[in-house]
Amino acid sequence: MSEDKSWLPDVRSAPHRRARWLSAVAFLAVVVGPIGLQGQSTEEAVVAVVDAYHAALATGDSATALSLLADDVAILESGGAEDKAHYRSGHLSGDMRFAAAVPRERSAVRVTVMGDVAWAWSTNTAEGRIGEREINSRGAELMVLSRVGGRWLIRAIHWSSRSNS
Amino acid sequence: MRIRLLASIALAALAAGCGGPPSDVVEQTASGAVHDPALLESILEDVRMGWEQGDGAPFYRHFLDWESARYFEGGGENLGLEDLVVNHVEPEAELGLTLGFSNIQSHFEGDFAWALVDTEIQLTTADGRDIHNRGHGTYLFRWMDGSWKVVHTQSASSPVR
Repeated sequence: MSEDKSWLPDVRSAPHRRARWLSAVAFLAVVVGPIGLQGQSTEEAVVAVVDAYHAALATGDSATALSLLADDVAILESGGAEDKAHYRSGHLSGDMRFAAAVPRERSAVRVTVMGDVAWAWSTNTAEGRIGEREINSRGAELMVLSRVGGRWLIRAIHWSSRSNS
Repeated sequence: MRIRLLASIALAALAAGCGGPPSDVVEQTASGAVHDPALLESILEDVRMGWEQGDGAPFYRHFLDWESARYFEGGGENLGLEDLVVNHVEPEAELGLTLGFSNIQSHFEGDFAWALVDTEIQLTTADGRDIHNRGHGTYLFRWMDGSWKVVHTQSASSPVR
């Protein structure tokens, strides 16, 4: 096995920002991505996109959520797989309802940047109720992002979860 | 007439040979990373067999064994390569696991690659429940020392209805 671990220092973590005003800052960072916020590291820029995506889901802002997805994005969840068009007309509305209704505690987002591509993963717990359904689960999220024209876009999302009960 | 027919066939074969799709061309980056989906597919086949046979060797060969490695499945996780092999691969094979990989979609960006794969899983749990699930896996790769190494995996599935 290789001993070259030179890429490991790229792995960073950033705290989960739940407050909306911080999500707004994250979204701002995304919007001005080609310029970049002063002092923002590449890893923080990636986390800002992840945060902005979740903030958009939680606030029902489908336009922003979709704007953060690359045209060729693949979205995998449980047994399902969707491209951008199917996600827009399929699970997006359900994901927004879920994000708004069920509080989720997310771990630090771990980011590895390799040039113009990055991957970010985190774990989470969700507890609450949506409709008649009690939710008590833990899960994991993986995103692959790439930088196009100075802007980070989500190329792949994979969610998995299991019930705690 | 026969000569004309043979000439047509020869021309058609020549045209087909010259007009191959761009995906036939394997790219190689300055660092040497080979953007060949067949390489990832070969690794995934080794890994698939490793799962079925409870054999850790393909995992130790193709996975980068690094301190912060995480492998997620259905919301659960294994921390590090040994945990994956000892506490997941080996016990699951004892349940008669059969695992299918299909529709592998490979993406390359420099020294990084990711593959999305459709999965089908069948096994019988220790308490006798038959499990038959379909889902997807995401495998992340990094080009290191002349080969692609798996650095992260995520998979999820749901029961076949």
